[in-house]
Amino acid sequence: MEDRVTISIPRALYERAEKWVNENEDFSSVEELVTFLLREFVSEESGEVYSPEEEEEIKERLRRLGYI
Amino acid sequence: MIKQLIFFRAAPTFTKMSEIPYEEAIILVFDGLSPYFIRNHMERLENFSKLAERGFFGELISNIPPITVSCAASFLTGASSEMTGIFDFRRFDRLGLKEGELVFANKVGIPTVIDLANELGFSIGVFNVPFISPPFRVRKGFIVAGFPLSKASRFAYPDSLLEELRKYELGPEVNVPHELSEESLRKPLEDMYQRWKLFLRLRETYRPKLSIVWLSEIDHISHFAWDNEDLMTIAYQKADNILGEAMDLLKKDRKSLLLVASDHGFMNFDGSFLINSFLEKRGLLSLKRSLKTRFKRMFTKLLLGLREGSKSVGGMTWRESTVTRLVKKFLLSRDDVNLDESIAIGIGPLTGYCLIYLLKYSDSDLVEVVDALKSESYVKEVLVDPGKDGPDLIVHLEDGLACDHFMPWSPDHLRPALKALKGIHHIKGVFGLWGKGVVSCPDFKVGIEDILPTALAALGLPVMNTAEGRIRFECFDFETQIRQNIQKINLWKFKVRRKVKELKRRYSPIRD
Repeated sequence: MEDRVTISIPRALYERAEKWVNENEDFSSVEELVTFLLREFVSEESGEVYSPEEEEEIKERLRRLGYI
Repeated sequence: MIKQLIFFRAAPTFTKMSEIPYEEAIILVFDGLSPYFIRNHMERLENFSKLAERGFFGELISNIPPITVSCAASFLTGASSEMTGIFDFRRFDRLGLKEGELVFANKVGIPTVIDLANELGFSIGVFNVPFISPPFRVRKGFIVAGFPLSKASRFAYPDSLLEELRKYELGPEVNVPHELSEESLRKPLEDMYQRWKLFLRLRETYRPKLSIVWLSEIDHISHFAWDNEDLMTIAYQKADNILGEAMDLLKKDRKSLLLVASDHGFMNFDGSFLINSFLEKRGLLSLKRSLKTRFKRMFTKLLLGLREGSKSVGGMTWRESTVTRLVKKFLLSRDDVNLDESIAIGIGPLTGYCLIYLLKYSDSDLVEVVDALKSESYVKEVLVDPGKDGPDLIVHLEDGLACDHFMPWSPDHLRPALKALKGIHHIKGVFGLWGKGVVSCPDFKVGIEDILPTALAALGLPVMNTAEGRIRFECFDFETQIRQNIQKINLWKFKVRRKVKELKRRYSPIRD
């Protein structure tokens, strides 16, 4: 099992999150919700997909049709 | 007793599982195909004619403005631009008053059909769809991106397919020359046909339940040859041949449904409306009074005078070279706008719609700009606040006029059409249906956002609850079966993801 740590959040927020979890079946616990949110938040976006040269080529194709 | 009675009466509906009418759906998109051109040339387009007689052929209402990137997003999400927030090819940075990153149809913050396929595990084929950007993953099936990517990009998934496709001569690039003739038309039309053949091969290999096949050549050809009826007829006949093959295919696969569509149509390009010249003339946009701006205004006017009626100073006909980059430095640009004294600015692609942003939004500014626009006879409609992330106003011009967002340079805001472009996008595209059980629909127009939900429902698959399009039950003999199988799915993770991404975007400048 993954090594885990404990974090603290405001009780009122926890209670609201718990209510939300109970109303929505997709998360089994507040812990799971928080883990999911944090994972999403810290995960890198797909990153730089194009090099500057590739991006310029794409723009050139769009310019050719008056798109940009 | 009452319960029993209700159960008894309801039993015939609920105890018999309704049969799902189709096992496969192919959405075949010919980019830019015009319903008017087809209707006017039906006698030379035998398969479209057959579609109209024995299936269904009608009109599709595209997004406003009808640009391919927002349309591709609608095909992937079942949502209009109002919801996807795509109104231009680039995101607009209000604070910096400049265009930001390029927009891609599969990165819209709401679930796409690719997400749905991954979630439910059905096989999907996304072939040559424009403006989709890697990296992408699909659990079952394949993705091949189209225009404006090149073979150098990671344009296909899975990787084994990418490697295979890179060996082909034909990549995602669309090669249509500006100067078109019968001779030079041959190659792009052959490319279009080869793409279709390639899709058929991939279909055999991956067996997608749902495919979206996009052929972009007609759009590019229409831009450069719309005024040449003979050339356009040749191009449409090639599309007609492909349609015929698709229809024949379904003769063998009786449980397949073909949805034929175009993302928008085309119309003549008769003239340009220089929105920023108009705004300046009405005192709604001001230029800086610096010597540099004054010089640039003179230089721009001089240059345009030399090139009168022939070429555009706006991007399109200017290939980026050292010389053009140098020349552009001396032309008016958004840097010359006096932001403190301006109320509004037009920024967006060359279409029959102007996108207008109010610089310091207030109700009085809004009224002033709307009144100024409405007083012009060629303005058909002004839409206020058309959707999230969008402009404050969208101005619909009369047919034939395109909105040119080039900076003001002349007191005359109505100009002749640019010679390089013969046709511009029209909001009305094509929608057709072919397959067992397709009936001639009542006379109605399908919204671009209706295509995906209709295809999913016909396959008995759930539709994302973020898809706002209507399921067009009325076009099927199987209306009851489709209605009974309809399910909505809440892909909540994507909503959370979107919120988190919005948060990230909001906080990133501070973090940086």
